[in-house]
Amino acid sequence: MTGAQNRSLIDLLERTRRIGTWVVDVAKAECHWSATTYQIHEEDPSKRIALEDGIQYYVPDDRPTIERCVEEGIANRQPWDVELRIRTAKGNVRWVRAIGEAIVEGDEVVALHGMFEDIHERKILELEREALLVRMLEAERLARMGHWKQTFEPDEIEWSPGMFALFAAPTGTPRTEPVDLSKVSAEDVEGVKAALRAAGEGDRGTVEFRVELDGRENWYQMVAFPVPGGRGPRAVAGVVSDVTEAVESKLEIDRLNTRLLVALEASGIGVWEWNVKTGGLIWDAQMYALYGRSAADFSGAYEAWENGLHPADKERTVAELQSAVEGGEKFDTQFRVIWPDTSEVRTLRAMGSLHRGPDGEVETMVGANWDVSDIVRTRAELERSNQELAELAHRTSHDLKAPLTTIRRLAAYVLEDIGAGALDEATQNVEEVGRQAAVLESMVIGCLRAATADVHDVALEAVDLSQLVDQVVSSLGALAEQNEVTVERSVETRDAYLVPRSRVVQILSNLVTNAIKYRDPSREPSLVRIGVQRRSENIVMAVEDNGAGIPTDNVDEIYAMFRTLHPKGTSGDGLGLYIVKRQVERLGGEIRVESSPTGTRFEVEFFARESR
Amino acid sequence: MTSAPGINVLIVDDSRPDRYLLRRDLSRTSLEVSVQESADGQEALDFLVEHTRNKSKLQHEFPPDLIFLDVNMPRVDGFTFLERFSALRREQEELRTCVIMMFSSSEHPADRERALAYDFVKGYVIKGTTSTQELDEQIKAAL
Repeated sequence: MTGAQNRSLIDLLERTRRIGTWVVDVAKAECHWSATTYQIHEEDPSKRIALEDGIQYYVPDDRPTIERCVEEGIANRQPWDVELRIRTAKGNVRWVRAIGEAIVEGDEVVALHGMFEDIHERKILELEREALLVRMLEAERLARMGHWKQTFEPDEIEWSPGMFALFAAPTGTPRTEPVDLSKVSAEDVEGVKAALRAAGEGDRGTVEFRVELDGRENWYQMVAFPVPGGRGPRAVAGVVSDVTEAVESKLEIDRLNTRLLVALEASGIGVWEWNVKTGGLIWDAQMYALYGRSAADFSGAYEAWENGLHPADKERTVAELQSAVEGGEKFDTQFRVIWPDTSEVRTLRAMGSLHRGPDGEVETMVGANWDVSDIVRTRAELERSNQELAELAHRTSHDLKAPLTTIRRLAAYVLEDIGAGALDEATQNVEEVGRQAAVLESMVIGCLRAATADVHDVALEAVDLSQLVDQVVSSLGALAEQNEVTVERSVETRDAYLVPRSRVVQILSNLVTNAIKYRDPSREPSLVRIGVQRRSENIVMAVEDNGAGIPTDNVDEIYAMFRTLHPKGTSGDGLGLYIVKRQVERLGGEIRVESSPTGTRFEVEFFARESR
Repeated sequence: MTSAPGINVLIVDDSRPDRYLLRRDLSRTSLEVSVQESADGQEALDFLVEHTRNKSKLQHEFPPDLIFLDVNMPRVDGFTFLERFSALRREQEELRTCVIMMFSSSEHPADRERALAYDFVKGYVIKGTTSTQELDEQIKAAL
């Protein structure tokens, strides 16, 4: 290659890569720059540059470095290759690469020469990349994250400092696996391998796994993915983050949720959420139970809730809900619902409160429902009970007063008769006083009996109705015999039913006793027929007689306290049918009566479950 | 008072001792009374019908001038009796002079009102609260 050829080759190099050359004449302390070197310095090519001037182009921070390079080059013939900043003639700061070495003639360094390259763009990118890396690593450290990269040709694995921290491994130790599987919980190893495999096959693999460190269980999440490498070596990478807190919070939420669900289920509280804007209503399982519906037949719409409401409560409840939404008040009310299948009516208490969106507008109402039927029923029973107590007081004061008045007045005449010596009359009247006292006594006992019938709660027990009828008939055997009444029975069911035995016995005993007592003596034979049969879910007990019938136009009054349809003081305490009626009510059943001058038929019907 | 005219009284009450007491009370008044008894409304109606047809039986002791009527009675109670008596009275002219005094232990104002709504019901005596003197006066006022 000729010198001219060399020259043009260097020119080409200078033009394409902005590499200049320079020579320093040591003796004259003068610089000789190539054209490109002038261009890099943005300097006038005609300007002569002394060595001292050349040094001055470097920024003050970098000047000591170049000075040392030059000194060392001259004194020790030490070559240099440094990247420094200059400030150009136009004032621009640029990164340059300066390479230099000594030219020695004999023992003397006569000159220094070298190359001068503008590396500004590359250097800036490099610095930015470094800064980015620093920031990324700092972010990894703060977020408790790490990342790794695996190449296959050659087989190399690289961990970021964050990875070493996550696995508590000494920084920089060589790695053989993307994730330290020896520290991964045995149960999760397969999952991790699967995620890595997925990445190896070009997919994303995500996995959560546990790592035990210092006796503490940590939850890590890893996303592994193929690294787009163009034509470069095939590689995969992964990002691992510590999600222990999130997982623990989630587990804690799950635990709390479970506890809440158990509590809600146990208390029968249903939870609902109503989107005020769209009208969408969300119910939990308990809500469906409270409305006697199944999730399948419920459209989830607000209208369906409205349709479940008792017609008598609908208008009021909907208005209350509306005013709660519009007025921003708490929704707290009580209403009845009708179960679609059984037509059962339940009373529900409802509460709800509004939730607003970030814009302050009402978005949803969240609330709860629970069944207060029992409370309402108990309250109604209490009210009725109080009313009856008042009635009892009223009636007792009247009905018990009658025999008392008679006794008092008879006693006055007895005294008068004794005084007048009319001892026969006196004796008769004293006997009457005794009879009136007996009537009074039986009324008082009846009152107590009625009160007891009401107060005591009777447990359900498995009862063979045929045996129960036998028991009642046998206990009234003497009365029947004495009145010459034949008692027939026909029990058409052989199953045992769950019923409050003593209530049923009391109902039947009273009805049969009445039928015997109020027979028609002119009819022979006097008959009482007891029939028991199953009618769908109910038991029907009938007591029929061929007596004289009930001598009243108004059959309802026969159930009133102290109402007896036979001459006062002759029979009964006037409480038998009152007690029957009350007991039937307690059973949740019904009593019906048909009566004509040829006989009377009482029918009691009540729900009873078969005993299994 | 010996010139006081004799009056016919019918007591309708299912309580035997109450009939006895009223009968004795009446005997202590200044009035000369002749008393018949019925144990309930039906029996009383039967009595009235029977003797309207067959006047020879009781002669001058029929028809009653005054009926004492209990309210709570089996078969036909006091109010049902009033209804039927009202009808009977329209048919039987001789019963139109007959007045009724209720004779009950019920102090219920509704019962009193219901009974006094009939123009032939002239009084309402509560059992055991009326002295002989008062009874005397009330009967005289009613007749």
